[in-house]
Amino acid sequence: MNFEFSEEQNLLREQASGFLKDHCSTKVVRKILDGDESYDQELWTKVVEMGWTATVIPEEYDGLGMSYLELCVIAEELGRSLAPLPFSSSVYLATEALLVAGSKEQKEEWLPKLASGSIIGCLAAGEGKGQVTPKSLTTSADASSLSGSKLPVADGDIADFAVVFAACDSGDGASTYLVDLNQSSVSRQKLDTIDPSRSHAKIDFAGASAELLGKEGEGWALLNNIYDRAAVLFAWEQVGGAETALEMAKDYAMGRFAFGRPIATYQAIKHKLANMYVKNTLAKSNCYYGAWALSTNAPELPIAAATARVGAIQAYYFASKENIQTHGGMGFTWEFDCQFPYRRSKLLSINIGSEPVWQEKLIKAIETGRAA
Amino acid sequence: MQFAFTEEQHQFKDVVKRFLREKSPTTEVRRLMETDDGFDPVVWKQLSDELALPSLIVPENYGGAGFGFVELSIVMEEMGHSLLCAPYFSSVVLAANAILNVGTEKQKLDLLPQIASGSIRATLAVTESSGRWNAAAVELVAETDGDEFTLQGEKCFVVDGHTAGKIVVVARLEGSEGDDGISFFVVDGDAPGLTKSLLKTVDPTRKLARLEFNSVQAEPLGEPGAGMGALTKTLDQAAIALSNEMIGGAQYLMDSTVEYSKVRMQFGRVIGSFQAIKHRCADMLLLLELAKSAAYRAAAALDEGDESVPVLANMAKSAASDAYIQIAADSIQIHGGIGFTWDQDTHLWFKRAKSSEVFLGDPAYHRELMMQRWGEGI
Amino acid sequence: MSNLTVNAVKEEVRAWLQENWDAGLSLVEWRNKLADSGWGVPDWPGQWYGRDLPVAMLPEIEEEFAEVNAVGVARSGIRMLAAATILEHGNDLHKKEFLRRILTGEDTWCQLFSEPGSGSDLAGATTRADFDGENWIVNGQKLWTTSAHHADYGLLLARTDWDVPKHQGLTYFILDMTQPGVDVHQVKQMNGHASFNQVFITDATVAPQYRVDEEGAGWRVAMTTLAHERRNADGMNRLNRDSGLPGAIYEEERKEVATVMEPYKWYPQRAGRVDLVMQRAKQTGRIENASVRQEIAKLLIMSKSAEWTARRARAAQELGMPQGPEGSLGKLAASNVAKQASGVHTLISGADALLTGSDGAMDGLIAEVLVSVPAVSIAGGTDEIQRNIIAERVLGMEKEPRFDSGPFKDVPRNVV
Repeated sequence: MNFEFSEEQNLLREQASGFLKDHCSTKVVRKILDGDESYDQELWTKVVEMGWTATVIPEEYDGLGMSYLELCVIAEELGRSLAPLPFSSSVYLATEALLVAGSKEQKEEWLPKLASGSIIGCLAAGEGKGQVTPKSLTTSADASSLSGSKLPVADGDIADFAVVFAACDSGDGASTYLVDLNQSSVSRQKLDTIDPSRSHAKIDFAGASAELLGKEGEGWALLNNIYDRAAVLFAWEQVGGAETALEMAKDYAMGRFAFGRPIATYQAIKHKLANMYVKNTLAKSNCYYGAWALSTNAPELPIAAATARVGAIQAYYFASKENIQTHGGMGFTWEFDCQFPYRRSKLLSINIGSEPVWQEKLIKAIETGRAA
Repeated sequence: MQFAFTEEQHQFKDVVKRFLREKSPTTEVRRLMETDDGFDPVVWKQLSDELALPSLIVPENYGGAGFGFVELSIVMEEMGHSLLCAPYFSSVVLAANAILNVGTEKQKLDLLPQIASGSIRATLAVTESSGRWNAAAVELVAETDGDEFTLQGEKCFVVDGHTAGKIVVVARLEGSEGDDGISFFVVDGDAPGLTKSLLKTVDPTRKLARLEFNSVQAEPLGEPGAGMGALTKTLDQAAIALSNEMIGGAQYLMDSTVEYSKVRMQFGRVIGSFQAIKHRCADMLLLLELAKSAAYRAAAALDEGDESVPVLANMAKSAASDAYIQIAADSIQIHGGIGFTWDQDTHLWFKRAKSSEVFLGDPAYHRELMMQRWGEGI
Repeated sequence: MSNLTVNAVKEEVRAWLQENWDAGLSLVEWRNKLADSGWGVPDWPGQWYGRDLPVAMLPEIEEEFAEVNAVGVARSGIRMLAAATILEHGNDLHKKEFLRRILTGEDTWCQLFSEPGSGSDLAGATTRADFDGENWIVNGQKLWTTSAHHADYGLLLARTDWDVPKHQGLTYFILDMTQPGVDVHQVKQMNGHASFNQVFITDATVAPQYRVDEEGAGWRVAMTTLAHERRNADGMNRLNRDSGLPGAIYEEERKEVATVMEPYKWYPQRAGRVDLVMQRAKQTGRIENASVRQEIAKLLIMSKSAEWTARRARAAQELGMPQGPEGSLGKLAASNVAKQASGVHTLISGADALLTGSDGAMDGLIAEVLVSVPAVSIAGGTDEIQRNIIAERVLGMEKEPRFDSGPFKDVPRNVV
């Protein structure tokens, strides 16, 4: 594995970065954090117009047919801007589920709409307490009707359909279904979370009509595969966010005076920033590995994804908390922006499985790799 | 619960401190660590005759001074500080406690006065080539023939095992496994069939030996097969004593490092005025003091018969190990290039920190054990 | 103090309480009796509402109060810091005007020291007070002011001389918070609570007689206030004690305490909620994970050791031994414990820890821990400042070269 982003990909990064600087300042994040809206619709429309939702969808389904490297570039920039959008739910999770497991008919039905942004998808796996496992699943499906409760579902309040995981007696203990959320047997309730700039919901299914995605009894394997793929993309978002936290801290430290000098001239602060930089850079290296594995469909994907995920969780949390510390008391206020990366880092450190879950995955993947 | 030393304990500490600073300067440490025996018999005799330190925790009816673990911890802390090279830990902390915990009255009356007077030096052999400290890892077998026991197998990482006159051996009865069948035996240092060899280790200030038992006749210490409780108790006591030794060593490193940072100049100022150094030293102090609290707390608990002793022992050992190794690493870092040289003394303590970290079980082992023992908390 | 004196005092207060304690009185009526008799603050000077008794006698006297469920003077909040400062540095006018109403609880006080531009560097305050020939005219901003929104008076640190080094140009005033030039805004923290205020002061006035101590002596006076703030750390426990008794006077007292304690209700979460870790780890099943167990063990060891370290400091103090380094480490230790606890709570949580509402882990309490812990390494002196203090005062390491020792007007500073 040895790669750099190509010239075209770097061009895409510049374009994305410039666009988000113009349209997704922290004011936009704050508007969603403080307000009742679930996401910034105006920004979403623009992001769709840029074609970002269509990035990896093949051309035959009206997508752009680009590689995952392009999507990693976009993820990093979205993470950097802390964009309050359902992008990860719709693109990293729902779209991926269809690309991996969808039948030709299902792809034809859903992918063009996901590409054009006319619908938003989400993934509903968790059921509240603890980490979800096939054994813990209480959501069940019978023929084509699905019942149970899912929470927290990222973007569950605004999505048009959900990829839902339900218990099943055969195979690996779970099956996956596509469920239209705009039906009467589905009710949704918005949830307050640690990061109010990203919306979450509880979804109740009461005999909702559902369509099997992939084979029965292969849901757990599918979920893990989607999580592996998404972990790489989330890791890029996390690293982008971590770099934002470092930038915020650096800018503040250089302009803030204490005892007659900028606080950036104190070793305590200087070394803090240096440590943030080192962690971010190491985490990013792991992201490169993940991007390579994802884009080449390499058998190392589980290892690469877990490595990227663990590194990104640690780097983002460190950078975002030290950013607050660098800002001192003001960093802990609502008025300052330090809370955005901190909240996002916490959200992204738990959403698709927390650090120990991924550490275990990593160890298992390494063991399996050795055995093979 | 005792949280401060009494006036008498402070005075005792001063006496021990003065003695050890005089008898164990680093020139002596460096001399002794190059020898195979690893200690100075003259100093051992003075330590026994003048200060009666080997008798410290031995009850008076067995010829000892009858002090408690708080006093023992004071001695350990000062020994760790001075990096004393002597078979004190092996003979007093390990062997004497094991005999107290498992021996019959007759055996105590026979063995303890000799240990207390310093006339024999004993040790305890627990670990084998696996290096593990749990009972299940004991493979050395005690074979029986009527009332006779013979030991078959090997022990490894035995502190002062090559110089001890009496060796208390942990073995298991034939056919037993896990925590069952754990037994203690006493063997003379020159018993037929016993082969002793000095191990080359990272820390030359604490000598470790490998002992091979080839049908060595042994006397059971206490009742054969019923030694599990005594083993656990002895190792918990030893872990607490070792924790106190470690914080003494860490204190030495902390103090010498701070002193160095006050005189070493760079960029026109003493390096101790740079926040990078200053904050590292503050963090070292915090680590040290927290570990000290855990070590003191555990020692006091032993004397007070607190039922949380096992958990406290794990906490103390984990805290002291982590603090010592971190402080040793920081100390070398703050000393810069010179801290990495042979002539500078820091590495002597660094190596002791390293060997103490794994001695009696590494911090992760103790934390896991602590979680198993936690129950409803302490 | 001999047993004889202790018993005599106990007897005296017991008799006085028997004679005077009446749960039917209003809180202010009763506390005025306490002020008149000197039993409310027996360690204060006899001339000022006290009885000149040693501090060591207070627990004995409090015991007698508790015996008959008698209510004490108002102690909560900043008012006792104000009282201590006034007793030490104030003149008779200040004592006459303010002390009684502090004890009765009729007046509420706040502390106007920190500013947006000077937190760690408290002496770098830029709020100015200029004398216009008649009054001091105050302009500037103060920050982190607990209770400012309902305070009657503020302890104000303001700059009166810009041509001298920073510590020498400060003066201490008593500011009437109810005047038009004082504008109080609540500051919302990132965890959603609003425990503090920002105070905007525009042409507010202070009459000359409300200057405390000399012009330029402000730093010294402020040190007195802060010393009492540190000493009163255990005062919080007393505030929290709820008599639980029925009756109007207890109700009034409860209300008073509740108002003062309101800003601190998230403080347990700020400290990391170590007490919930085992329970949560069992609930989520994460207790089975080997690396999580290690992290929990590290947390418990750190937190218990910190507790024992504090007890060592206290034990040495009680034995009259000189305080070792263990007495200076509490704040940094607490910060490390909180951070480790927050990390562990994240490790043991599933997605429900993200939820802040009733669907969340422990009704959102865990999420509140996660967003509250960052405050602990900042409030009341950042970890960085704590490390400076430990290194310089405990370990005797040299200070950094200073850049702010010249006339304050030439010192580079923040523009707010």
